[in-house]
Amino acid sequence: MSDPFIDAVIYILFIVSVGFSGIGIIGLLLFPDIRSRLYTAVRATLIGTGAMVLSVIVYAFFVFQSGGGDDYTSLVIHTLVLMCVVIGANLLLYRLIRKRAMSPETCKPSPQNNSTEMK
Amino acid sequence: MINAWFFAALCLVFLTLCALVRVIPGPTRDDQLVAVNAAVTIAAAAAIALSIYWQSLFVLDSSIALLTICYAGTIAYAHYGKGEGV
Repeated sequence: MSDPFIDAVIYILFIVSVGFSGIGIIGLLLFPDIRSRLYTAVRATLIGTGAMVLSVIVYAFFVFQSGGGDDYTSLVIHTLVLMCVVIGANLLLYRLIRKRAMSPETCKPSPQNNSTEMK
Repeated sequence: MINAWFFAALCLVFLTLCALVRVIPGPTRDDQLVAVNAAVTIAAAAAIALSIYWQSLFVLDSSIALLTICYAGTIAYAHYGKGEGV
């Protein structure tokens, strides 16, 4: 890569990706109940993966403009397919678990659900 | 620039391992499912970065196949599981 602006954009997207993924993991490890863990883990990791996909698209677009070639078009298409799989599966799983987590039985406070015991 | 892709992939692999730490204690099945889901999602981002680093679409294709299998298993387990069992 030679364009410093494109490099800077890609680096920023890397930082966003790793940062949001880290936030998701911290929430997953520290939050006390299933609903907050679910909310943080799904959204933050999706934002992190989306930032990585965006960085690949920026990279492929720049390389395609400077050198050409069909490889980078197929790279973008494959990456978008992967993102579709990730988003669809996350939404499905989020709805499944959220329905159970919002049910009245699990909303009752119980000493077992207060699970900060990551020891 | 290529080293930056590899470094990002390494960071994401480390975060995936951290998410897998959550799978073992649980304490409930839903917690384990959420942790597996987060680990697979971050592993997808790591696979994207590794495919750029190795300049190989095969990595991306195989990761799409593996992710689909993992997600299908997780969704089936969440759907047919009996709620909050440990």
